[in-house]
Amino acid sequence: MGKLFIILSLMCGALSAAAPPKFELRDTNGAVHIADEWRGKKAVVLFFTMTDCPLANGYVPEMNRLRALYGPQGVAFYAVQVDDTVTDAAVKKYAQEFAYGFPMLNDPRMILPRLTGAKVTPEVAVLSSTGEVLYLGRIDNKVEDLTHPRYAATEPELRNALDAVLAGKAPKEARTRAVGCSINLESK
Amino acid sequence: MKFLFLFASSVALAAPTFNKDIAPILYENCATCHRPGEVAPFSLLTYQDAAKRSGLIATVTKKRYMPPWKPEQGYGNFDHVRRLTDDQIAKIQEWAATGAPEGDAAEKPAVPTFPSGWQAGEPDQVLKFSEPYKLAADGRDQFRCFVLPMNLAKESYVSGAEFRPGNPKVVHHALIFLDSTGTARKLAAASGGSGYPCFGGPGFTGAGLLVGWAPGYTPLPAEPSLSQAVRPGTDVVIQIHYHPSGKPEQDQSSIGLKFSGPPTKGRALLLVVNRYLDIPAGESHYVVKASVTVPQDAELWGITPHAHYLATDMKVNARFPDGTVTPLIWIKDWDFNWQGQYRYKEPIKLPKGTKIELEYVYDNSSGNPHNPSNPPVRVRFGEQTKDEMALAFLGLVLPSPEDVQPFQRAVVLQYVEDFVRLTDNLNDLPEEIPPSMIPRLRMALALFDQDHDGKLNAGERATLLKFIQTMMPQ
Repeated sequence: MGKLFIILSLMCGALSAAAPPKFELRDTNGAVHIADEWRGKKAVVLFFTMTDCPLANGYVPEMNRLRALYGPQGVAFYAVQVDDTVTDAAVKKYAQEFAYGFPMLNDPRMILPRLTGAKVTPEVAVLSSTGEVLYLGRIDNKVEDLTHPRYAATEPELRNALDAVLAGKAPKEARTRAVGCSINLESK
Repeated sequence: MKFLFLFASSVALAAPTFNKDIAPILYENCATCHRPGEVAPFSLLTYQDAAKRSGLIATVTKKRYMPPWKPEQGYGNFDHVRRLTDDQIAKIQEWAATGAPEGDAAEKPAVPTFPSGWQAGEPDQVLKFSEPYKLAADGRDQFRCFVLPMNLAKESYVSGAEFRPGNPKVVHHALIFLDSTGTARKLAAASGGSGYPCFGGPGFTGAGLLVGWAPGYTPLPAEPSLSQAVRPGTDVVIQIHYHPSGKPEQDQSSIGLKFSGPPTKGRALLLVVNRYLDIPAGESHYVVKASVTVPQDAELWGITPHAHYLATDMKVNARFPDGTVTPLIWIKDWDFNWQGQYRYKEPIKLPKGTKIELEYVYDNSSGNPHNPSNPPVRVRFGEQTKDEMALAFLGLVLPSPEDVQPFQRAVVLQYVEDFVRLTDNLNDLPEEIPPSMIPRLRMALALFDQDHDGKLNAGERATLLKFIQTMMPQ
């Protein structure tokens, strides 16, 4: 029984974490961020991105709209830059050019992809203030199939997840399949 | 166990590497667009560039999404084919699955170099947007027509045209027309500037398609024997499909024109079209057919199939007078975003009497992710996003410039016949019928409308069709 519990908790990892995960990541303005700053937040959104992934870049304006809509309701937003081959200066320039309205954390060691299980960009994770992954997947279903994108999204899955979490419920769909540029976990 | 180990290690030794196997494939097929400053979103020139994307490259090549080449192999022998072989795709799969190894530096091919500037030679005239066009960070794709006056002092002959996207990050594709009617200018003025929104077509009739451009398109050298006469007052109209990038962008595209003397051969654009499609909401397999008979011996140089978002399968065949059929093109998985102009390696001879047959299939169900209407709605022919089209432009060459007019006249008669056969509203003349012909045609139609109700009844229609057939060249 004890053994099973250990295996289960290993499998669930961050899912069952009661305390905020431990990390220190610097944003493009040099400020250091730690999970403690999530305390008191109703939810935390991580938007996994990289500088040259067209699918991710196309979603930046939508993420800024979501930040404007949900930020005032107690949701913290972060972009997580997960390409370890670009310079800090290039990331900073990129964040400015695309006018990200929320901090961009540089994560060359892939701490947050490992913590959440994100595999591609664009992908979003909705976390509780203690780091529990409440939703992981796409922003909406426009690109369910890379080769046959929808004319327009019919399901705003991230919005649905945030609405559920803010209403104190579990998202109906906790996981959706994100499609895009692979996150290279074996960073070089 | 030992055997397995040996087997595994020999596979590992044979696994493809970037330097030996993958770089040659990428350089040959991808680097035209996937290099710094070009249309593709990322470069694929270095090992690091490619290794970072190995999973994505494996996925999109396996699905043949990249390189974007829509025609099926064996249905039209085209020039500048960008299609990977099954063997190349398998190599990329294996390379990505084995951790995208770099390999021996000594085996790496030289990074290809590309000519900068105009690809098909220095143009005689360059027309550029008078000011940059501003594109918002996101929202729907935009389709805009830009009017560029040629300011010609006398009749001239255009023998070549090359489009250069100003901002390749957002220019998805372009079609370039000539407008001698002044309509495009008026549309632009009404929109308050030098351009106007235009999704399906440029919004004027008798539009001569000069050239097209899509990512990876190889511009053709000037062809003086096929030059096009252009009279003073003609404008170049560039229709651009813009795809927002996620940040505000600007574009100032240009076109380079080559001039020459008058043509020595005839050039005719044969339009095969069915504008009477009517697709019920929810219908997942709606077939549209159209045909035109080639009225005199001609050579087919290229083909441009066109539809909007609902088309899935597009076939165009040539049925020769002896009854044999040759496929001209087959696109199994039509994607509005990757429409192209396809040029044959060798021109195809179309003897007089060859019937060009078009058969397109449309999926207007909610199961079609490209469907712009959710829920689906009834769809008819039109230029708007939610309308459909069923047409193909065939670029034909006739033995002499003098052949063009009789050729066009004979084709127009067929359009009139189709029109009479398929509709009954005399006020709704299709735009393939040249404006100069319309007043006389209306008079003729009115003569056959014996009960003067603006429509043709069965008897009136039969009489008119018989009459048209007597006008067809024998």
